[in-house]
Amino acid sequence: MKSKASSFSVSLPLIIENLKRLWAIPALGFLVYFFSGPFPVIMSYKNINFMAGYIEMSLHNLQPFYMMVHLFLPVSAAVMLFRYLQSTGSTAVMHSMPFTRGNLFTSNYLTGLILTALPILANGLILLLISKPAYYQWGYAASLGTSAVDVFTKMEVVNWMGTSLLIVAVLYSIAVFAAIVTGNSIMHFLVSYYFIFLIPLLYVVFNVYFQQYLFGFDMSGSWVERALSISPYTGILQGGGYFSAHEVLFYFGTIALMTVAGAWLYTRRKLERATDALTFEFVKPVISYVVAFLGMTMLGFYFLVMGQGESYMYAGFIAGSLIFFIIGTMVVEKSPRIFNRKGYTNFLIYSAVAVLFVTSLRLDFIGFENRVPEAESVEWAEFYFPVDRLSYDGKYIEDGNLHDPENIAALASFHRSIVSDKQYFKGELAGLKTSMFRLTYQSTSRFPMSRQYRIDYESYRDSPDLKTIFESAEYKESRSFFHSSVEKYVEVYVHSDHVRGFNGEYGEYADVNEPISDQKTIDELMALLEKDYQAMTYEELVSLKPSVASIELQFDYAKDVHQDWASSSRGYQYFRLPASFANTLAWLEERGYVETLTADRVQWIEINQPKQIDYDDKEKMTAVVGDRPMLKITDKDQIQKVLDHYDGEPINYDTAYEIIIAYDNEQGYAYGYLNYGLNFLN
Amino acid sequence: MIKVEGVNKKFDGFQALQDLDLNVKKGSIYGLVGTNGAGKTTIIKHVTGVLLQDTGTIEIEGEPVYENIGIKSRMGYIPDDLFFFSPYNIRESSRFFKSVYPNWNEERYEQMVKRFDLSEKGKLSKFSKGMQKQAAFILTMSSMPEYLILDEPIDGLDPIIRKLVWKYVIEDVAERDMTVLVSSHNLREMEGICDSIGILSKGRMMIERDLDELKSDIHKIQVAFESKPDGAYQGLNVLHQENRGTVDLLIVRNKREVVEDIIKKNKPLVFDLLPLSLEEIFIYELGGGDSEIESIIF
Repeated sequence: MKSKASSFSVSLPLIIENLKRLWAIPALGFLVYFFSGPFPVIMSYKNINFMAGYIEMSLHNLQPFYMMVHLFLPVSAAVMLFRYLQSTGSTAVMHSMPFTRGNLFTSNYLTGLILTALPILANGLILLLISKPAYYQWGYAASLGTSAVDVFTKMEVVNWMGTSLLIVAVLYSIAVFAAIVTGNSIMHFLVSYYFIFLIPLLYVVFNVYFQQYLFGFDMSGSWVERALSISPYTGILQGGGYFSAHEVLFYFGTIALMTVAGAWLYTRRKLERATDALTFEFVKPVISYVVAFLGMTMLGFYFLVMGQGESYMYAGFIAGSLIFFIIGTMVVEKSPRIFNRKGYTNFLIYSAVAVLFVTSLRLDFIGFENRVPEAESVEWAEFYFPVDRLSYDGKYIEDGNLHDPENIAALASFHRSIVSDKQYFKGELAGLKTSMFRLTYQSTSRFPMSRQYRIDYESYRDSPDLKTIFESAEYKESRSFFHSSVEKYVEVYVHSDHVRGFNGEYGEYADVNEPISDQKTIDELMALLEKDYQAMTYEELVSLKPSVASIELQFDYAKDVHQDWASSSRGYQYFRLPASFANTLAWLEERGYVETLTADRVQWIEINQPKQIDYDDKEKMTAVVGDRPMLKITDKDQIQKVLDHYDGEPINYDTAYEIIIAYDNEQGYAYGYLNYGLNFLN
Repeated sequence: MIKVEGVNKKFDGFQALQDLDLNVKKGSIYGLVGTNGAGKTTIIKHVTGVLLQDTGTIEIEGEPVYENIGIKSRMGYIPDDLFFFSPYNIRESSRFFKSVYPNWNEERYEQMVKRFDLSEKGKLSKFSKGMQKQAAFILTMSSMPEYLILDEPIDGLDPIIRKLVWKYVIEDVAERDMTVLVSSHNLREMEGICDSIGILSKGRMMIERDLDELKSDIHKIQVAFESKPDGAYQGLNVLHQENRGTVDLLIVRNKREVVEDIIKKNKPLVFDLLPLSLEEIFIYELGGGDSEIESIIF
């Protein structure tokens, strides 16, 4: 006699039955989606631009309610559907019915996919029906038409549906896998989230260790993006609402892997282990060892922060390992009776692995710290230096990397100089002006190699390698004001640092100039800027001499750039104008945009002892003025000498003399440092 | 028929079943008896295809049961630990059973619900244990199983319902040649219903017999002679002997005719051949010293 159920690879009656009894899950999910998404949009439908930011946030899955449903819906569905595996009675009844294990798995699995997808599809359809242009204005946009983005297109809604379905499908497949390896619903729930966040969590933990032990470890490298992308739940946050094609493939692979692994384990699951914490032995160390490792890390670094030195950290490691190994083992064994031969053996194994791990990092077994690639093997190099003209505004350059072999060799040489002097750079560099330098090498045969170092000012100022790079044609061209990404400059704002008549407080903006919008004038100014920039030496670039003015440049992207990767047609640059830009400054001064600070405008200069002024405390700083200066200069010759010598930042905070410059009848104040002593005053 | 051969099963090092053989004839009622932890539920879960044995074979009509939808769709199983979909009443459950079991008999379902007088609207999860058992019984019997597996079926049922349950079972065995495997830890309960009995102890089958055959071969006799000759009981196969004054009480395993011939040959003053209860049979059959057996019987 042929069974009804055997006619299908999945059991339709079971799927229908599941949908009938668990309808509340998608209904609840839909309500949360609807009332946090389409509903407020419909409420403000007439004035939809007002909601543009919220719509964009929702459709990019950055809206907290959407993310909450994404997180709870798939896990809840998996817990409810596979609950029959977690008690002896239900397991026996379901498996004695005319289903194979394969039928049960696929039928329940498919039901869960339907339950989790339905609210997204229903919500998506509503969003499609109500979608209409909603412009989100951002940046320094002057007019809506050119710089605002329509965030409520049908494509955006479809993207939301796709990314959301992918997120819940991945989380659901992980939760189903967790159902198979756990023996009760509470453990199922906890282990689901444990697996969902395990990889990103371990990534954070390993980063903490690598940062602690490995000189040059780059936490901000592409590893971060990769680690966050491992889970679509965190990947969507770093991707700003979109997944790349690689990510989509990876997530489908994750779903397939989790599903196949879950199905395979289901056929081997020992049903008699229902009500146990875990049903497969191999999962036990994955949980107890990792819990111990996380606990060890937590207590170790907590002790490091609270204590004095590394010995506290190691004490924390030991305490954390012990406490959390016991907790983890009790959880997986579902019993406090773990103090036996097996328990001791497992702890010894864990301890041996932990000691090996920490020792290998401490002694750098893999030679991470000294590794510098041969320049010949590098295809291109990426670098982030704070002295870069485009440190903050480099978005308009798609590829600002180094390809010139000479520059790559110079970068590797600079890198080598850091490694050879690592004991110095590993130190605290207390009081010194330091900057983070990040280097990435891409060879044809390997993953990118990234390093990050904190370097003191004098070390990078005096580097001949950096001088080679920054004065090279390749670098100058990539940072040119007339880069091919720029179609044309359309508006320029000039803010003089010491504009006459400004009596604002310290830190306020002296915005008294009208913007320059005449195209001919702009072109003239840009030509001078470019000329000065091309002539600029490395020493001038890294100079700490105070700037004279700042310039904001608004430009239109080249058409192909805008279409390819820029999010808007309008771009924006900010640039502090150094004193070395003689041609530009002369042009600006002539037209009254810039006023330089000269001795005749200055009433007095106070010179304070190093570290005397607390810039974090405005009141205290004011109190110091005229109160305890070591020297107050009013002589014009002396004032001019100070103006010629002072810097905008201290090289060594412990030795730099802090100065306050009062000008324009004490209506304006400037602040700076004398980094090289006071001998020049003699 | 259900045929279990040399089945072994270990749970984390604990030997739950050990070289277990079990044979249930088609159209018979087989009583599986044993103390708590003897392995009754474990072997039942193997026979129903829930668990997979480590070694050995479990077949119904010559086919392995495990993952066999064809066999399972003709099998009804009522576990001791019942399960229903939590929000369902018996009517909703019946729809699910109807969609899953090919031989579902709606007419029987309607009739049984009336007969057991169960509410169709009440949630099954809110029912008492006895009512849940009745509901499970109605659903299982309405699927018209050819093989009925019952694990402690009448626990929690009152005597009237018990009688009703057994009535349905016996009717189906008689009318449809249904095969029944029923477990219990109580021998007395099994005596009136079963054709065959198997006693499990510590995962082993201690004894497995046809009940009629067993009863016809073992006898309790009271005998008194004027002068008891030597070797009066020779050839009787005495399992147990007691002396109560001039009367001897004997438990013997032999054919009735042989017993009568041997005793009557010596012209006894008193000779009574009395029936044995199943309990007594197993006490004497197994020597009575086995605490496992004692605990089943007493």
